[in-house]
Amino acid sequence: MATTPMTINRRPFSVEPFTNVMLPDGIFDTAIYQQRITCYCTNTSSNELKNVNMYLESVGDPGIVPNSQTHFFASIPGGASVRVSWLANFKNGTCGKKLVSIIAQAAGSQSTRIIKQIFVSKTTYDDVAGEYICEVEEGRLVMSHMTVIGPRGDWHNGHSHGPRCCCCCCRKPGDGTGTGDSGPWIPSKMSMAFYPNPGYEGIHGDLPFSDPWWKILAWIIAAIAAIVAIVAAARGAGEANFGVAGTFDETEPSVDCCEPDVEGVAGETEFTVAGVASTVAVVAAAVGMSDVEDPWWRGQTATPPGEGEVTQVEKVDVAFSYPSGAPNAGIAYPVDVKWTYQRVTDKASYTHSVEEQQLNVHVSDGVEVHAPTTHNAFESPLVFRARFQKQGENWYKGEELYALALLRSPDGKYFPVDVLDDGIDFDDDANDSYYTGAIHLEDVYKYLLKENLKLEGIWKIYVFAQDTNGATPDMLPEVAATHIGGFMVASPVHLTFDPSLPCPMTAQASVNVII
Amino acid sequence: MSTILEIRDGTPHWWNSTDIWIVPGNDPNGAPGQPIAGEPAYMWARVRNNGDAGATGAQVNFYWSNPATGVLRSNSTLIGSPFVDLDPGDVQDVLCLVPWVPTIVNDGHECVVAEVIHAADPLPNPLPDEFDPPSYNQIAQRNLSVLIMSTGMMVMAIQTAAPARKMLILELRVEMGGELEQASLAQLGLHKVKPAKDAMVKASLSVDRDCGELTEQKSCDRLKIELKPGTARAAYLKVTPRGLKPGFYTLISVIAHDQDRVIGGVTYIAVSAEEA
Repeated sequence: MATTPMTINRRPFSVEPFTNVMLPDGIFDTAIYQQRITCYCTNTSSNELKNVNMYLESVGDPGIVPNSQTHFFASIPGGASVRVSWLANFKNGTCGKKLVSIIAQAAGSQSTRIIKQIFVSKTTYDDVAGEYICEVEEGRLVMSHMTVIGPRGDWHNGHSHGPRCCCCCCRKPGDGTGTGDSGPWIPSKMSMAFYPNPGYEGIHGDLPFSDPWWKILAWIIAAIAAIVAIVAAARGAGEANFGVAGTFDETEPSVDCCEPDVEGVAGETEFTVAGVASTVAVVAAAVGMSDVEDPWWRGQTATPPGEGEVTQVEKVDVAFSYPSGAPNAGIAYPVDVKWTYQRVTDKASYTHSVEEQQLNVHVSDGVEVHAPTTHNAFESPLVFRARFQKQGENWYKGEELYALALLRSPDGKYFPVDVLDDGIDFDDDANDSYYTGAIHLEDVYKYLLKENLKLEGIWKIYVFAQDTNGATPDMLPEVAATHIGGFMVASPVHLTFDPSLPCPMTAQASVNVII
Repeated sequence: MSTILEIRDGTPHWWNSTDIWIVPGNDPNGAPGQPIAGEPAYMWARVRNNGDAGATGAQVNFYWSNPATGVLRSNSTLIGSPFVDLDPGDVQDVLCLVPWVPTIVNDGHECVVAEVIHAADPLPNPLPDEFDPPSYNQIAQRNLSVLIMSTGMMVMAIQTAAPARKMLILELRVEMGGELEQASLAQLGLHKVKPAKDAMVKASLSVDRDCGELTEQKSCDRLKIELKPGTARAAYLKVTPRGLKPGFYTLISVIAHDQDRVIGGVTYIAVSAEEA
């Protein structure tokens, strides 16, 4: 009997379950206890596979505890990539590259075991020093200062933290349960120090996980701080779900940002909107520090140490400004960046400074969403299709994107829907660049009824997409480092520096639902 | 409809299960072999569903412990707990991706246990301290190591232990000879060895590590050990080469008896250093 012809081409990535967003470059972090181990499993044959079961067999770290779950697919077309995920608790995980094994078995075939690596970092917050520390096996990044441009409003009205307090935990909402702001926070300054483990001789040290640039660790810290703050804003600042408190040092006194416009009934999906807005915002730091070579790599190149000198610390102070306004997903927005790299060895210290403009290269030339103008709620599922254009003529397809949609009922209740290009159910063909979402409104009717909300009327469709990391195991570390995933290439949330406006949510399609 | 899960016991002794094996090195898909002290190894188990109902999300727990005649949960260490789905009549190999690093102290001679847990075929609750593989299909043990012999004597420490609240008077007996399944030998990287007609080693038990070279007068193939509830003691197996021959092996089994009942054992495969 032949083995089931399935594989995983791209590294499994982390999806944070409150916000539904992928963490930077898909890297898992133990500061967020619950994460979804998410991946695309590809049918490598040209034939359709029937009755396929898939489950997560094992994770190579006893501190990472997955939930047992088996995914079933009645059919997987030839060449199609299906998205699967498993919730796991990372609270007691350790940092490093960990193996995960996934078993796939189709009817009439033997099971196949797919073993892949995931990357795990460990971020903590030192209350006394006021520093974030992001550890990986190759060293640790200490972020001692992170200044952000925060949302409009009374950031300076901290109740108990004194007049300089501008952290996200200051403002209390009306009911006193949450902590107030839910971002977005756009980075404006960061002070970081990387302590390689061990110190190294020569020009370049080891890259984190032998893959992404060091800047990824800064992005992870900013993303975690934002997610923690978003959840704390709604749920309170308890640490039941996270190992760190979400705190930024201060806002820019002269610039405020918009707040996400999440109207209507509060629900879990408000986290998604806020999470997407913050993903778009904090990624600006990664854009400013360049995908091609980050300040650490360039600083190392520019400051070759003497023979036998051991590099012990590498500091980067960086400041960002946004000459064309707030950063937005999929747009080639510019970031003016000034950074100074300092290499401290056991014998000397070297400095290199750069002032330049970087452009966001994770761009999309647009999102098309096709949906019926009118739909009968009880007749059939509401099906819509989205297409995400890369720069130029090409379109994203299949496993290249992690995409999700929110459907907003006429009264403002949101429902998340997976959007997939896998050729299954309502998706016509796998890898044809059309990502399809479907929801049977009959199924959601009971939820609406419970809250006395309308089913009929105008439903709005909001589509989000993040790119996945396309690095392959055979790439050299410095080549793999230039492949980064987790950038938001499509988002209906638009950030603006005009504090009098909300961050508007622009629906990509509307459907008139009748009954 | 029932689910009947099994990890098979071994032969000639139940603690020689071939349904548990170890892959030394960094590649979990590598060749099975003897674990190397201080280096990572991966554990595998072959799990069967002999029932007519499927089992989804069965958990397979892998443990290691010091070489012992009676392996207890309380003196074992959990390595990892992968999952497996089993249709009726299904057989699946299960990999534990948590790398296990055998301790230097035991020089790679460790005992490993695997158990499969599923609500449809449960183990007793609360779980007894003894794994007791002969009583439970869901549990198997591999207590089988290779002794690479050259000219000197080798001394192997063997742990004996009594469960909490139970006194034990154990008699350890050494048995020489016997034959292993080919699969068992292959799992230890021994592909071309045959059982020796005459024992190639001499083995003896004692309660102390140092008593010099074995002689006919000093050797002993039985040893009585008294264990208070919840305590453990070491016994020592001393093995001296006697006419080693390349291409052959001799089995040495240390079997623990509690009165007439066999409660556990350890098996060593003595081979010439040329097999290494």
